[in-house]
Amino acid sequence: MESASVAVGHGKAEDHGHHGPPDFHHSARIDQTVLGILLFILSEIMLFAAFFAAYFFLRVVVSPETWPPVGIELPVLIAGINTVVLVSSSFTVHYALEAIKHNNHRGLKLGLGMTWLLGATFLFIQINEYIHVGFTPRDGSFGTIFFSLTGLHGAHVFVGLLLLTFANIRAWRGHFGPEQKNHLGVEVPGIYWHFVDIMWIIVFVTIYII
Amino acid sequence: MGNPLKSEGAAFKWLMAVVAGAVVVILVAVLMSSVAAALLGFILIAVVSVMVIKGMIHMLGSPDDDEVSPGMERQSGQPEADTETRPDPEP
Repeated sequence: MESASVAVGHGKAEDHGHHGPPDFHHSARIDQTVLGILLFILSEIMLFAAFFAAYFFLRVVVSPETWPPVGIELPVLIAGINTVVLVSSSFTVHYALEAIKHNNHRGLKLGLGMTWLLGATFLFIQINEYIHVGFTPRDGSFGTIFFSLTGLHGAHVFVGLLLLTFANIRAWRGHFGPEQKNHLGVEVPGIYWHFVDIMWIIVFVTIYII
Repeated sequence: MGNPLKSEGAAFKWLMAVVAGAVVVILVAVLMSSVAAALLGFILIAVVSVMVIKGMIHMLGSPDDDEVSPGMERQSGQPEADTETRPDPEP
């Protein structure tokens, strides 16, 4: 009944050395961390869905016959190579987590370092593509939605790289261990990184292939 | 495949499934038409969405279900809380 005593004693939680909301208010059905990630990812999916809705509206309703507009050639091969690079980075982050689960700190550092490099390579190639693609966001609805969707995803890759930077620093400082509570700092960025990969695959297929 | 947010391993399995689905959609786009590929893509996304929503409902439970907080398990013999038997709050 320790939780009950904490719950009853509103404002006296510090007496029990407890920080944050009292245990009484925690859901018994779902872990707080999982709920937090769930709400975050759901909000991200809705954000991307809004951009995809705009893309298909422009493509189907506004300019159904000329898509992409005449004179615009998308670099499908380069984007395909970029897709392989990003999907490869999911393998390396998965390898890093498997390594630390087996107490392999060298494998963790190698996997996280490779993931960071592959993610940075993806961003570098995408920025290079922006420079040489031959149109700008001002060049009609196609240019606007192309840069909006790929740019939104690029921003997510950038955030993922920031998370991976922290994970790399912590890995080199020896913060992680084989038990689950000791490698959450790799697991959560890993889930986010896989989400970013999934979103890129959908963006790539939608914009470059279909 | 389970809840993709449960662990990195589960999310990785979902990623592999999405890669497989994307390969199929790309093949349809190359071999048949963009419209067919788009329709297939929408169907796949709809199927996955239904699976995810069902999983979330299962995970979160119904609002009608009684929720017992950690450390507050109902004692044996203790009557179940009922709105009809609950006394009115003091003014």
